[in-house]
Amino acid sequence: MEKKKKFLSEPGFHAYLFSTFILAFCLPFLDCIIESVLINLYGYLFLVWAVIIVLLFFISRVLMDQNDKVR
Amino acid sequence: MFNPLIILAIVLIYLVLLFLLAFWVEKKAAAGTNIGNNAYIYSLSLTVYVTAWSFYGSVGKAASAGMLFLPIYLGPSIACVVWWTILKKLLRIRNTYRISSIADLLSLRYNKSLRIAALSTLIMVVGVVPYISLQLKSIILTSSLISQKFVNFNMDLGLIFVLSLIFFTIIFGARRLIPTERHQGMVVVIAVMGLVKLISFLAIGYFVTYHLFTGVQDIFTDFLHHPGSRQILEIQSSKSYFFTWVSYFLLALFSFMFLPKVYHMSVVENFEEKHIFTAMWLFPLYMFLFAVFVLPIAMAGLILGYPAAQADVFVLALPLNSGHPWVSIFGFLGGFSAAMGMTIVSTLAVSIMVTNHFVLPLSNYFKRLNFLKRYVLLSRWSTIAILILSSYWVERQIGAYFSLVDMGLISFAAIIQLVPAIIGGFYWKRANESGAFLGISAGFIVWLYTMIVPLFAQNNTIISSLVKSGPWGIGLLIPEHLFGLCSLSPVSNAVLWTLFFNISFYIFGSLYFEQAREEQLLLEEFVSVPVPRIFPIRHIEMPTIDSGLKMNRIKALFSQYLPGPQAVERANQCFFSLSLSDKNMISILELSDLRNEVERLLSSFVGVATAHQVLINFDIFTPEEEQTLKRAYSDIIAELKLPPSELLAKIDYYRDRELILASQAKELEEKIQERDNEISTRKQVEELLRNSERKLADILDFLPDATFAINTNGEIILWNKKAEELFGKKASEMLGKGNYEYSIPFYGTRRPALVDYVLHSSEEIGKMYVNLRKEDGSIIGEELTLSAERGGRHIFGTASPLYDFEGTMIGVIESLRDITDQKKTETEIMELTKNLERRVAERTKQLEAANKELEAFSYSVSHDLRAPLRSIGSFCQILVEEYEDVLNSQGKDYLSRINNAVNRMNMLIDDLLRLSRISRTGINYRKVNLSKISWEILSELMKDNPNRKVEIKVQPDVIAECDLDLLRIVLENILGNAWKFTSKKEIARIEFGTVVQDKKTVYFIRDNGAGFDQNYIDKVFLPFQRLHSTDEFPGSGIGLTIVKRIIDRHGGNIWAEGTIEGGSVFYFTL
Repeated sequence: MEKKKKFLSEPGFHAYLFSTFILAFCLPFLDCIIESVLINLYGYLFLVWAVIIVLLFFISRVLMDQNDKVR
Repeated sequence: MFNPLIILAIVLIYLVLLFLLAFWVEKKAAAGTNIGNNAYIYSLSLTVYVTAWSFYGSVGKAASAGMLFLPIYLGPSIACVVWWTILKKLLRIRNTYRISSIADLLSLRYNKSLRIAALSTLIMVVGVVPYISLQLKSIILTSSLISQKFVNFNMDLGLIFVLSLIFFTIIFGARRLIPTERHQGMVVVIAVMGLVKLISFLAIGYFVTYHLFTGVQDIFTDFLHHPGSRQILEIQSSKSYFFTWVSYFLLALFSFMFLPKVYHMSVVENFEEKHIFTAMWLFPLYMFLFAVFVLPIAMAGLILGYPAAQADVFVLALPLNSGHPWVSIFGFLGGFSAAMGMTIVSTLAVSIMVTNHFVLPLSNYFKRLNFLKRYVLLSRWSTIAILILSSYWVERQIGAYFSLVDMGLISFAAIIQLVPAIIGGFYWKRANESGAFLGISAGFIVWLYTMIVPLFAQNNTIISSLVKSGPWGIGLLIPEHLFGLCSLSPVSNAVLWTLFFNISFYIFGSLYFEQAREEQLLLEEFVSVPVPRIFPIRHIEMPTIDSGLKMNRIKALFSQYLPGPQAVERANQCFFSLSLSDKNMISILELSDLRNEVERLLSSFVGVATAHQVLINFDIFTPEEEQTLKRAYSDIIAELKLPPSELLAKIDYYRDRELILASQAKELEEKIQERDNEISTRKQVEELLRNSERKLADILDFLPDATFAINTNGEIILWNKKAEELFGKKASEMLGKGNYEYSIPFYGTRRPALVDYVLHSSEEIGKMYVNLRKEDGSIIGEELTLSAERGGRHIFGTASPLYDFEGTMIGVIESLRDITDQKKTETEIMELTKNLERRVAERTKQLEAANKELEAFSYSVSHDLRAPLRSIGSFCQILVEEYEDVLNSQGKDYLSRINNAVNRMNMLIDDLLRLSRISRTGINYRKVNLSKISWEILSELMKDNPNRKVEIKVQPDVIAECDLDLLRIVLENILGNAWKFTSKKEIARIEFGTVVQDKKTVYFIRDNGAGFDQNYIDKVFLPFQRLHSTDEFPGSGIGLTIVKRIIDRHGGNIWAEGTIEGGSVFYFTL
């Protein structure tokens, strides 16, 4: 559990997520879907977005724990 | 449709309620309850990002360009992944330097540059005006939509709203002079507005999706047949679509953090750093929920036949025209909240910047404007009013030609011009003021050219021509297609070129120009770069003072209080403690330290107060040195650039800190001492433990039994010498091994042993042992080994659990003893015992037979003796009777003697026969009243001798478990003897009773007769032994022998006490 927490709080992991999600919302994935039916694009974007929110929730919990420990 | 006055009244009521809420929150804050200090309120306050643009404009964008509305929401959500790291830094810088705006931040980073601050403020002002215009446009547009039928309403509703906005912005946010103070009331109001926005938008989305249609799928399916669908697909497939998407995305991503409104709420109004962590997921979630219904509403409007040009008001038009005006009113309040929130916070933030970076610097520069310094708050209010009014003017000028989103993007593109300088300031240590100024200026100019100039093309022919053909007809300089990039949308074009010029100038400027000293000082805060020592060695650190002279002065001072040698010693001590002993020259700073050391040392023997007074008058500093020192202090204060009050505050702060640190250091020292003691004690304990273990190992080795132990995992932890001998395996080979390894050397196979029975008492293991039992917690068992090597050996084993100090079982110990020899001996002894018992039985049988023969012989002898005796007696009688006359007196006497002897002989034979009979008679136990029998015997004796005076005492009801007949014989004999031996006493006394000795009843018969000599007590109970002559007291001498035999047969004892002429006592037990 501690290992997972450490992993989630790593700045490197955040940089990776940041880059990955930029890619997910730009090149090359979006390019494939952008020209298809609107509902597919709608579904894809909101699904990835939901994943981001869930990940952010867990990261925030870990960071908050660390913050409390430091205090 | 509503009367405009109703709408106005609803809005005013809403605003008054919000104001009351803000007022209540501020009041609570003044009383010490910080309602604004809450992670969720903080997170909701960040939703000030969601403005009328998102509320109305997103639907408009979705109706014309499909999903292109979404990057404005996605950008901030992605930014949240890394945003918190920058935000934490911003918060720390804000707390340290009390910065109140983005312009302040940039100015601080870049050499506290006024021009950077002014330029940033200018960009903010120019950038925020279109943004506020957008908000005003939305309010005017929507208010006219829901009140459109009341054409007779002559008032300018938009202007009324504008004036209300100015008023409420001032009372919500700009009532305080100090901008860094938190506005809790405003923050809570913004958070509530955030909720109103979200709930109203979700309500409308739900209404449209599930009331006007049957769901999202239904809308998408219907939209597939709508011409708008094809149009959107065409747009999505266009070349520029993707670049526009990326441009929007990047604009939102980077500008989100540095929009004045978001910066103000996230940094200036933040209470605690940890609130960021809640905001980093709650804010994206809010955006997600907000965006869910944007596309369905847009598509629903198009499906229902509304023109795409009116899509900005679909949010209100759809419920309004479907007969649900109150849903529209609710939506209107949501949209109004979005516009109002943005306006309040943005104008507040920008007004602070304008006042601090325009008005006040101008008042410093132009003496005529000096009076403005006294009107800072008024200046802010004026700025707010001017900003809102100018935005209203811009809306009136260009609002009709642009959609809400297009106007918002202009602002975003302006704000983004500050982003390279901010991010570079955090991560690039080489960045400097000149680079930042050049970069921002270049970006701003390109922004004006590519985004602002085209705005006015609609109303101006010259500008229109410039926008169409470029200046002087140069196609490469067409603002919206700069350098011939025609495939990009105007926004993408502007973003690309503004950032290109901005970043280029920023980098080249920073590389070309040098960094100022002040900038280097702040690098550590911004870039985390350690700052090198900024000042060279000062003159005050130069060794210029002769230490020898000072030493003499100090010696002289100490000599006033101490004898010569001690004074010298103290003076040397001062130098030594400051490590100045080897220095010939010292600096003025060192001299200052020396003076303090002298005072400290002097106070140790003259007291603190005296030492202080002495040192005041002690001229250790020459006038020149004093001047140097004063100058040094002045220089230091000047370098610090602190007012005296702040310097004193800092000194107090550092003194307190020093005290705290000293206290902590002391605590730490104590803890270290405690730890050292603990370590020392632990070492001692460990040493004792090692000794104890060594002793234990010796003891275990010394044990005569093979002993081993296992832990709970079954691994061997002990294997003593005897085990090595018995099993033929060394301890080194066995220790640590598990899986029944200990059984192999002994049994030749892996199998459980007694230790395993202790660990898990299984029946199977129990069956392997005989006599298995538990004694005092140990398991004891015996077994006959069957292994090839040791087969047939008898082993006695004892196993016992081992516990730690907490009582938890940590292992089992077992000792084994080869008891084969012992068993052999036991068997032999058993055999011998059996033989002996057999022989005893045989002998007993022989003895009993002999006894019987002897008894038969005695009986027959006694019986056979009677016949001759009877003949002798008869013939004696005949002689006396028939020859009386013939015999003389002597003959008669002889005959008489013969007759007496015969009688006596008869009596003896009778007694012998009786004794023999008693020995053979069986005992019939029952309860017998001995008192009664005693009375009967004594009564009989008294009847025979009525003249005797005898005092008789019989204890009543003495009951005994015995044979009646035999006890009667006992009592007859003893009482008879008592009667006989008291015959010569004038008054005889005979007593029968009991006493208790050693918890046993002892019966006694006491008399006051002739008694006996105690020395002959051994003879009393022997047959035919008499202690008195027959003449004196007649008797056969066999009576007491019979008594003893009877008592013996009852398992009792008999004994006697007596004195000559003092009587006797006979005791017996049963």
